[in-house]
Amino acid sequence: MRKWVLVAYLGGLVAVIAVAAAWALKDRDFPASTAQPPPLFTAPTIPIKPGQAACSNDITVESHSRQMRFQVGTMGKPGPELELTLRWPGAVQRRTQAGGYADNAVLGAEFDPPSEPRLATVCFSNRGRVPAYLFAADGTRPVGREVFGGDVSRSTTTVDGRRIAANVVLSFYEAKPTSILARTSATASRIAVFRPVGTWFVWLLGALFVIGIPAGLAWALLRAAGDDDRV
Amino acid sequence: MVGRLRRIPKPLCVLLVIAAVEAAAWATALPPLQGPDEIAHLQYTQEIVETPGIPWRSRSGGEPVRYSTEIATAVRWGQLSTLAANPPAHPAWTAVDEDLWRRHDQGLGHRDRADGGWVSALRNPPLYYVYEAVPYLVTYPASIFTREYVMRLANIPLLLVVVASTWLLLGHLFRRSRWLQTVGTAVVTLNPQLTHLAAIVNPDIALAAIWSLALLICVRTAEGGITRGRVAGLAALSAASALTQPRGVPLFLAALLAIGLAWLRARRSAGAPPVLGPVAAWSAAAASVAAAGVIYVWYATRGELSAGPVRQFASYLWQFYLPKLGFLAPNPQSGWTVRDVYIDRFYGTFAQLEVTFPAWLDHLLALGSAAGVVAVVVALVVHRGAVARRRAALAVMAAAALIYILALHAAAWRNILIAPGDPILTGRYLVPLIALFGVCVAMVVSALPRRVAGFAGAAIVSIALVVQFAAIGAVLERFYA
Repeated sequence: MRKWVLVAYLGGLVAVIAVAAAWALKDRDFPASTAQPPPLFTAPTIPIKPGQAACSNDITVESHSRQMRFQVGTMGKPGPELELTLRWPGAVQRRTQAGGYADNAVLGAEFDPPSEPRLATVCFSNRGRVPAYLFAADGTRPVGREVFGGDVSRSTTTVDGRRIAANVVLSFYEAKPTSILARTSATASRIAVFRPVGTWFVWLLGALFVIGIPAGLAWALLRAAGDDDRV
Repeated sequence: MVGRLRRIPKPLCVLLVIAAVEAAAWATALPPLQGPDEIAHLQYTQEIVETPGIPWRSRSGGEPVRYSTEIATAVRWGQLSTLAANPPAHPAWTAVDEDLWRRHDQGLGHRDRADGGWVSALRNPPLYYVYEAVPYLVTYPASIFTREYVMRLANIPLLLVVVASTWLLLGHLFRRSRWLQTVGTAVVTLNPQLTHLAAIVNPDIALAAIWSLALLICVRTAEGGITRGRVAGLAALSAASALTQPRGVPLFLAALLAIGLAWLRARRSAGAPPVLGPVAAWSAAAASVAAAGVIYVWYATRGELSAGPVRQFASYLWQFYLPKLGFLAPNPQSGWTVRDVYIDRFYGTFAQLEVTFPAWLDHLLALGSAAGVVAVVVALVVHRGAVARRRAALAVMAAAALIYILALHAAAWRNILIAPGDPILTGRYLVPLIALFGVCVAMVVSALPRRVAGFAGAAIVSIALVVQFAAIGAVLERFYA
């Protein structure tokens, strides 16, 4: 019986390894930080008139934050030119988003990331002749949907210095697609944040899970089959 | 003590360690407060510790949901509500995020932990929350995140009770066949929904532990007879079940059935004359079933026992499992089917329900489970001799499952009458019966020839391993990729 147990289990294990390897090695669009995700229930926008600027603070940028993404509505007109500013203590970077983009386009701007995580302020200045409508979230939810989720982020957003309730939907991604395997170390560090355990503990648990569980199961199955063979 | 520990079968030891590793890994990988209703369960525990008395109450009195200042601060500055149920969102995962939250948290005191208001979890009885108050207090005055994490880890003993009870139940049913015990317990241990529940603050894992242990004692009582310890155990577990979750109330019915069957067997083997003649005995049994049915229907229809509401409930129940017949009224929950509950949400669907398996895997699990149900029926027929000898055990297990599932449907229909949009019945509610899932798998393997049983058992366990890995992979991908 033990032989058949081993054959079947190893067959299954090969399938596990093949699927896991394909999953871990696949290159994918990799997030670096999400300042404000799209809202769950409503789709508000923040209008930025020509000459106006909207700024959001407490935006996390870290060493993988290369591309800033946001979405702009234009009411069907060609999009106006935008000046994008990313600022954290001791550093300011400016980029220009050329005008003419399509209505509701998801736009990306490349920045040089900090070597260590920083809290930044992001500004969008309208340099064009028509308003830009930045996609936003304001935490509004339909009556009766008292679910946990869909709230506005911790940032404070101002338009020309005046505080508003909504925040710009904004996230940072890596420059090019990468795999989960390539980001294993970063993921272990990220999991340990807000936890009373160090990254080493995440690694230990990961090793026990990935290696210990299949090995332990194999041992338990073979031992049980052996026990029954002896009866 | 050491001698006793040494007598624990080695495969069981390994399975217990595996269960603990799984739960610890899931508890660590899932960002804080991302389990279903976890924030409300955390707040319940916090209110028990921080305010006088037990805040158990059935209604809100119209007041809106209000979290304590400490929890609200963690939610806002830890970006937890923007993360919840929103797949494009990712956790705040850098040291500066943690520092920012800490700056807002450091000035908070007892008053900020004690000012929480109504949350839906307050409708639950308090036993699990009293249990969770221990790790909450032990980690005092660590941060809210540390307290929540340790409360998650405190579920591990409850998970181990599920695993050990399943092992013992299988040992009792299959004459201590190590192979069947190991295979049946392994598929339970590897079930990702069970692991998920063990990794979050949620009373469902306590209910699973109570029911798994109660099923074991019920079967032992029905077959082995009444002892003072068993009756006391069943009484205590029935009380614990009712004090953990309203869904746990019907456990006492299964316990009563087990005790009743044991009493009848004892009388018969002692040669005592039957209490009732066959006709009267069957009539009494039918009357008991009818009485239980009336209570269920009364609860489901909110006390409306007239023909219309009863027909509606029966129609819903029929259409949940079977195709609609022409004369039946339309089912208001027609989009919520047996597949959603017994497959998609029993094996998968995690966090705030936004983490799901790919459709192809759910489909394969549905096919495999359907084949499993057929195989269980075949196994029962193949082993009809043994089934006849073990009919008391089978009757108790089948009755417990039926009692519990009908209670879920009654509660679901009652809720549909109030809020038609919420299906309320979901796969994780089936986890209290997960030991029976292990029994079904072992039953199928036991019906096979010896060599095939070895191959099939190992193949089933390796499939369960694939599903467990797919589940943790889905969680990691959702939050960190």
